[in-house]
Order: sequence, then structure tokens, then C-alpha cells
Amino acid sequence: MKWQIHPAQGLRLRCWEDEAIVYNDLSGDTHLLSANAADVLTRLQAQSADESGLAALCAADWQVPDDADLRTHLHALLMTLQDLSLVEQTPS
Amino acid sequence: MNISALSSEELRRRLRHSGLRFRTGMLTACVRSRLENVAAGIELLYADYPLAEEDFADFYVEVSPPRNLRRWVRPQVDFRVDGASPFKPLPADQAFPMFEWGLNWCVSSQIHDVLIIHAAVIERHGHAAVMPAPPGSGKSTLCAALIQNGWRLLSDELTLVRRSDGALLPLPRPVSLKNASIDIMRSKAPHAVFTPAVRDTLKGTVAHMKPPTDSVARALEPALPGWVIFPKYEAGAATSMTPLPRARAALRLADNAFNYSTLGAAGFEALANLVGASRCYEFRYSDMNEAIAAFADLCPGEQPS
Repeated sequence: MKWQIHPAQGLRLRCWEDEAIVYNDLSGDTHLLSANAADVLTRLQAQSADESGLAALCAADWQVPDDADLRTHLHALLMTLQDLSLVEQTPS
Repeated sequence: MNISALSSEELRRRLRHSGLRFRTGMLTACVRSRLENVAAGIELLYADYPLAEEDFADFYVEVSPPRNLRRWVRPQVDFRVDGASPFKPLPADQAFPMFEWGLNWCVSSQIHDVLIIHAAVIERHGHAAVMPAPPGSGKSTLCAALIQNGWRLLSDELTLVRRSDGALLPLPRPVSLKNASIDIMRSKAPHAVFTPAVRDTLKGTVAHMKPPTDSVARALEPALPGWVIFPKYEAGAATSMTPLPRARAALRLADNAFNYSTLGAAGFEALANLVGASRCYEFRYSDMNEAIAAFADLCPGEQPS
């Protein structure tokens, strides 16, 4: 399974310090995100990805090991973003 | 030519018949009313406002008795804009506050080329301090005190953010004061001009303070963003100006914006640009003199740590 932004959805992000706000033009909602969540969202805006691929990219950027902790954290972020209707899963 | 140039008779003649047209910042209102308390309030508080001679007005408002028995029995007053009554009538002695509230409603519900935030906004050295706050937070009292101490009034109620460039646009109007803040400001600013207090309104006892002449004279002079400060009066609280993360400030601003949802992505961009260009704070106070000093210490251009 891959993660992606909904194809019809336009997202606008602004990041300051270690937080961000994102505007979803489909729902009209605005959300507060952590910097890591905003980073994940930005990556998915550029290209859909599976969790393994995202973990590798995030590990390199965040300068942390690509281990179980990171993958747990990343999975939780994706679940949160999904609950906010910002990302969705799609068959590979 | 300002409203002060009109004789009392001419002011009332225009209110009763063709309408009194005057400008507040970028907006023009045409006001009609046969009620003496409305005429007296306008004569007292709007003397410095420029008359508008053109036929066009952004709002055509009328403050008058309803067209039913309540015109005479326990008299009421109605606020109409473009012929429609958006509110329920109020007791007739509340006519002038109703006029002020009604004009605020006109701006917040009908003007959409700006982002409109329910916030006081003041300016010093070209930079604006936006103060969003719910009713009862002390925002208007703080605003009233600051404009008597070196700050220019842009608005005590409606912050207008121009979408094209993020400038804060003035809309200086009389400052609305409630309950205990009326006597506080009468003692703090004994030379300021106030309407008589009107009791038993939905907001309690209210009075309005005439804006400084300079603020009205500079009503077409925008300001750059400087600060977003969320004020909260708390009895006994130590004065504190605490940095607030911009993302959280942005969400709270969105909650206080009348037309954020209406504007969609454009509203988001305007709000984000405002926050991005501002230093954001939570402000707690109980002592007005300390509050004035804390605002005097604000410096634009420095980034929060």
C-alpha cells in the first residue's frame, strides 16, 4: 500500500519553528501539525510513497536511525494525517 | 469638510431626509435617523469624520422606530441596512449603541476584499499590534488606554487585512466600553469625550469614547504587521508578555476571523502572511499602567527566540 494526497485536494502549508498549519481546500479546514507531520505531508505532496520508503527518507532528513521507533512514529503520523483527511492509502 | 462643519440643524436635517454620508477609513456610510439620541451621538463622536459628497455609499443604514405598535408602546428601535432588518429591535434608548453594533455588522458581513478579524488593532511607528480577544477579555479597555498613550487607533473591533499586500487598513470608530471599564477610562482619560452610559443592554452598561482626532485624520494610512497579541485581563495577575508559537497564533486568529472560511485559500494566505510577519504573544495583566509600559517596550523587526 502507498500513501498519497487525494488527487483532487489542494493543500497549503506554512511552517514556523517546529510547528505548521495546513489548509485543506476540499474541506476548508485548517489544522495544526508538528514539523515532522508537515514534512511527511510535503513529501507526499511531491510523490506518493509506501511507509518503508518514507521512513528511509525521513531518517536521512531528520538524522535519526531507520528503526522500529521511527517506523512506529511515522505510522502514527500517517494515521493522524489520515484521520484529518489529509492523506489516504492506495494500492501500490 | 468634516461633520463638525455642519450646524446641528443641518446635521439633523440630513439624518432625517437625504442621509448623512461620511467616511470611516476606506468605507462610506449613508445614515438616516429621526432619533435624537442617534443624532447627538454622531454629533459628539463623529465630528472629525470627513463628509462624503459622492452618491455612492458602501452601506445605507437607517436607525429608526419599528413600523408597529412598538413605535409608541415601550418604544423600540430598529436597525436597517439596504432596507432589511438583520437584527431584532432593541429598546429605544439603545439606539446609538445599536447604530455602532450595526455598522460593525455591516463591515464584518459584507466586506470580503479584506480578511476581517475580530480584534482591536493599534499602530506605532508604522507597525500594527493586532489584539484578538473574546468579549470580556479587556481588549477594548486596553485599546482605549493605549490610544491615549502614544498608539494610533486603527480599530477597536475589526482588524482589516488587505489581501493583496497584507497591510492593516484603518477603520477608526468610537471605542466601545462596557461596565467597569467606562469609569476606568473616564478617570484615566479625563479629557476624552464619552457618550452617556446606556444601561441594560445585552452587553451590560455601554458607552462610547470618541477616537483621537489624529487617528481619524490618518484613516487612510495603512500599517505594516508588527505584533499579534492575545490580551487577557486577570485581576491580580502579574504583567507578562509571553511568546506564542506562530502556528498556534494562526489557528487562534482563524477562530477570530469573521470571513476566514468565506475567503477559503485566500483567507489562509492572508492570515499566514500576517502571522509570518508578526511577533506573537500572550499578554496577561491586571495593572493598566504596567500594561501601557509593556506595549511601549515592543520593538518591531526582532525575531522571537
